[in-house]
Amino acid sequence: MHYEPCIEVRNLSFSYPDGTEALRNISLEIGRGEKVAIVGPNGSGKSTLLLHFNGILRGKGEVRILGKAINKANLREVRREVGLVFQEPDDQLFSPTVFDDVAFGPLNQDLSAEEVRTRVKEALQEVGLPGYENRSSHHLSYGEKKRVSIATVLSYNPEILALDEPTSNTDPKNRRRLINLLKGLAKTIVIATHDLDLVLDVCPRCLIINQGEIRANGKTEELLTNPHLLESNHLELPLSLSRLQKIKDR
Amino acid sequence: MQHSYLDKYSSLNSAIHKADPRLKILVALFFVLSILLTNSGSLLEFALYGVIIASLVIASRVPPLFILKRSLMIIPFVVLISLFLLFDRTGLSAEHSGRVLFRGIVIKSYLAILVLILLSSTTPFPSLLQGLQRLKISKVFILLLSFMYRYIFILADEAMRLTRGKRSREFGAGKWRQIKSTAPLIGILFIRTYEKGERAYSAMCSRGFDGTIRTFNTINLRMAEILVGFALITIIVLVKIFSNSHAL
Repeated sequence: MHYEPCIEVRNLSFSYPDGTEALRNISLEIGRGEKVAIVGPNGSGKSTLLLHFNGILRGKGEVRILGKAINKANLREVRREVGLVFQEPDDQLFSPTVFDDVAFGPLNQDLSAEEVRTRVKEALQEVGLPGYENRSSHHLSYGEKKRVSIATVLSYNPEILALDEPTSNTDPKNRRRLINLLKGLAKTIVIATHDLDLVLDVCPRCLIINQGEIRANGKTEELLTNPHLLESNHLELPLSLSRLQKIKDR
Repeated sequence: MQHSYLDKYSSLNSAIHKADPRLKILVALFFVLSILLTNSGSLLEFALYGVIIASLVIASRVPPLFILKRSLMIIPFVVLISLFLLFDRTGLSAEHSGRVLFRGIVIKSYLAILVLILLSSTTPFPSLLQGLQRLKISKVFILLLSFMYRYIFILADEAMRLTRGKRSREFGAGKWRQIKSTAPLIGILFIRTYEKGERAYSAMCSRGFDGTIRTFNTINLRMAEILVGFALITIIVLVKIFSNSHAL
C-alpha cells in the first residue's frame, strides 16, 4: 500500500485561556491505515492534541486531515472523517438510550431511517454488544459504556479514529476486549494513552509527548524498550517488558 | 452507584404500556385537567376518579404499592403550600371554607400526581420524549428534558462522592465549620456540571451536530388505541356530568 498522509500537523501550538501552554510547536504526520499511539504522562497534552484533529480546539499552526487544512467551512466534513472518542464515556454518551447515541452521528448525516438502523446494529455488533439498542446508558457497566462510546463513532464510518484513553478504568477482561477490537479495525487509529501494554499490542508506531512537546517519534518496540527515554518522560517500561528485564538482570 | 429508575416498571408488557405515548400523554393531560376543574366539595367526583385510576393501575400491572410510595413524596409540598388556607376566614361561604378548599387542593394534587406517576411508570422516558416531540412540543425543550434524564443521576453521584470526600476528612471539625465547607462543595458541583456540559457539547459537535436535532419516529398509532383513549375520555366526562348532577 502506498503511503498517503491522513493527518498532518505543522508547528501547532495551543494555550488554554488561563495561559497554560498545552502544546508547543508540534509537527507530525500519520499515514492512512497506520495505528499510532500518543504516549505521555498526565497533563502532557495528549488529549489537547486529539481535540485538534477534528477542530474542537484550534491552535496556532496547521492541521490537515486527508490533505485538507481544517477551517470553519469544512468542519463538518472533517468531523465526518475523524471519529473522536472521549475518555469519559458519560461525556460521549449524552442520549437517553444506546440507540439514540449510536444513531446520533448517522442521523446528522441525513441518512435514511433504514440505513441508520443498519449502521447502529452493525456498530453494536462490532463492539460486541448486539441488541443493546434500547438500554439506557446510565444502566450500563463502565466497560460497556466504553465500548458503546466506540460504537457511536463506528456507526458513521469515519476514516480516522482518535481515542482518548480507551482502556482507562476497565477491568482486565474488558481491556482485552477493547484491545482486540482496536487491533481488528481496518482504520487509521490514533490512541492517546499511558497504557503502554496496550500500545505494544496495538500500535506499531508511537509518539512520546511531554509538557506539550514531542520528545520521540518512532517504532514502538524501540521507544518503549528504552528505559532511559521513558523515565526521563515520567513513564516506565511496559509491565510485560519490565518483567523480562528483571529476568535478564538476574 | 445505583439509583432507582426514574421510570421503573415502564418496560412491563400491559396494554397500557404498549399504547402510543402521544395518546397516553393526551389522555393523562385531559384527566389531570378534569381533576383540577373539579369543585373542591365534590367528594363523589373525586372518589369516582380514584376508582378510574385504581382500575387503570390494575390494568397496567404496575405494583400498586410502588405507585402509593412514590405518590407520598408530593404530599408534604402540597400541604406546606396550602396550609394557610386552613386559617383563612375572609368572606368565603361555608361550602368554600378554608377547610374545604384545603382538602380539595390536597385531594386534587394527589389524584393528579397518581395519574402522572401512572403515565411515567407505563411509558419509558425516551418514548415519552418521542411522544412529546410528535405532539409538536419545541425540540429544544425536549432536548433539555433528555439531557436531564441522562445526567441527573450522574450529577447525583457526583454530589454523593463530593459529600463522601468531605465527610471522610472533616473529623474533629466543629459544626459551624462543617456547614461552612458545604458552600464550596456546591460551587464545585456547579463548575463540574458546567464543564461536563461543555464536554458533552464537544462530543456532540464531534459527531456532526450543527444545531438541528434529528430523530426519527418509531411510533405508530393504532385504531384500537384511539378508541380506548376516547372511551377513557368519555368515562371521565361522564363522571363529571354524573357527579355534578348529583351534587345539585
